[in-house]
Amino acid sequence: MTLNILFFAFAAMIVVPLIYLLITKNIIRAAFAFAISLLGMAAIYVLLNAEFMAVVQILIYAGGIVVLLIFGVMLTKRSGDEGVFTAHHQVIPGVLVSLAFFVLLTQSIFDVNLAWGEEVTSTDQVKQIGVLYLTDHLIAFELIAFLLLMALVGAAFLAKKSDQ
Amino acid sequence: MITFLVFLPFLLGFVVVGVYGERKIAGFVQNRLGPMEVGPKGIVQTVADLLKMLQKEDLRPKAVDQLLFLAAPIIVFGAIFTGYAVLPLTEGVSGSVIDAGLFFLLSVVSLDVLGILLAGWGSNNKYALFGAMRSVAQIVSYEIPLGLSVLCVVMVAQTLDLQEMVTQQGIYATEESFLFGIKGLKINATGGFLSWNIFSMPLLIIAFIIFFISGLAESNRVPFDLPESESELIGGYHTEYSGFRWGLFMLSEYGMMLLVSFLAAILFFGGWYSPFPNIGSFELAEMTNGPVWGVIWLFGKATFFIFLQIMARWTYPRLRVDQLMSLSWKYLTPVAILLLFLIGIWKIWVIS
Repeated sequence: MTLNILFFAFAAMIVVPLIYLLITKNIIRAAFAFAISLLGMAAIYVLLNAEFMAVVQILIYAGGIVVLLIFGVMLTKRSGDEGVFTAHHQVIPGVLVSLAFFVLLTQSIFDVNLAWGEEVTSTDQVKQIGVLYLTDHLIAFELIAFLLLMALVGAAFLAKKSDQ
Repeated sequence: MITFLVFLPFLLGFVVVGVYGERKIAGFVQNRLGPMEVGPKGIVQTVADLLKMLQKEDLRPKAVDQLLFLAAPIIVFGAIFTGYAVLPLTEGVSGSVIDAGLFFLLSVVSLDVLGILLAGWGSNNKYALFGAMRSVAQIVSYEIPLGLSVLCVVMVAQTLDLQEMVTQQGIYATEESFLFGIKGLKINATGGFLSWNIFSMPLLIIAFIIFFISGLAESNRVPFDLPESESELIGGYHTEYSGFRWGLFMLSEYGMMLLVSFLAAILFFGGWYSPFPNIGSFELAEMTNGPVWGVIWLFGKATFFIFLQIMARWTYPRLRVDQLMSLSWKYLTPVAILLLFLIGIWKIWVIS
C-alpha cells in the first residue's frame, strides 16, 4: 500500500516536470525540470531494490548530463525572457513515429513483467555487479571503456589551441 | 533518524562556533585580536551576527527569475545535508543502511552543483553567473581526484558501507589488519592509531592529501575560493542574496566543510575509534572505546580537520584559474590514478 502511494508520488515527480519541460519556453527551467524528473526515476529504482542503479542515475544523469546541458545553454546564447521559438515541421510523421514508439515501449514493458516490491534477496549488489562486469559482460565493459576513452581524447583535441 | 537528531543540531551549533573560531584563528594568523567586543573575548559575536542576519529584509531583485532564485539555496543545502544521511555516529549506531553508502554520499553531494547553477542563472547578474560557472567548473573537475582518492580507500576496505569501513580500523575488526600493510605485523589486538587506514596502508597518506585538497576545492574555500572571490566577483553566485537565504548558502559551505572533515576522519583516521592503542596488559584501547567515547572521538577528529581547513584558508593566497585547473588535471588526477594502481597491486600481491 505504502509502496503504491510512493510509486504514484514518484511517477508524478517524473511526469509533471516532463510535461512542464514540453510547455515552457524558458530553456534553463526546462533543463531543471528534466533534472527533477531524473531524480524521480532514481527514486523508482530504489523502490525496485536497485540502489546501485539509483545512485548511478543521480551521479551520471542528474549530476553530470544535466550540468553539461546547462553549461551548453549558458555558454552559447542568453535567450532572455522571450524564450526559444521553434517552428513545427513534419507534424504527421512525427506524431506517427512517437505513437509507434509509445506502443513499442508499452508492449515491451508489459511483456517483461517486472517484479514489483520483492524482498531484497542480495545485500551485496555492488560486489555482484562488479564481478559480473569483469566476467560475463567483459566485452561490453571494455567496449564502453574504449568509447569513453575516445570521447576523452576527442574532447582534448577539440579543446586544443588551433594556432599552430 | 540520527541524521536529524544529531547531525542537524550539531551542524547548526557548529556554524555558530565555527564562524567565531574562524575569525579568532584569522586574528591569530594575522597577529590581531579578532572579535573582542560582544561578551567576554567576543564569544557571542556570531550570535549577534546571526540575529542581525535573521532580521534582515528578504530582498528579491526585480529582474531575477523568481522560482529559480528562491529554490536555489534550498537545493544547495538539501543536497549537502542529504550526504550526512549515511554517516555513522558511533559504535553500533550507523547511518542509513545503503548498500552503496559512500557512493551515494558522493553522488548526492555533487547535486549541489545544480543549486549553484540555479542561483547564478536565476540572479540575472553577470557576476553571479560568472561565479556559478567558475564554481561548477571547479567542483566538477575536483570531483575526479576526490572520487579516485576515496576509491583507494574503498579498495583497501573492500566495502562501501561507512560503518563497516570504520569497524575494520580498530580492535572490533573481524578481518585481519596489518601495520604498514606488511604481513606479519598483525595489530588486531593492539588497535589504537596503529590500525587506522592511514597506518595500515601507508600509501593512503598521499591519498589523504589529495582528498583534503579536493575537499577544500569542493567546499569553495580559500585557496580555491575563485567562485566567490570578493575582489573580482563581489561574492560570486550569492551576490544577489541577502538575509536568511544568504545564510543558507553560508550554512551549506560550512556543512560541506564539516562533511569533508567527517569523511576524512572516517576514511583515513579510524572514525569513532580512539587513537590510544593497547600497550601490553594496559588496555588503553578497551578503556577509551565505546558508544559514548565514539561520538567524542569522531567529532573531535572532524573538528581537528576543520581547524586545518581554517588554517589553510588564512595562510595561502588564492589560485589563478589556470593554476586551479592544472593542479586538478595535471597533478592530482594522475597521482590519484597511480596510487589506485599501486594500492591494487599491494592488495593483490602483498597482503593476500
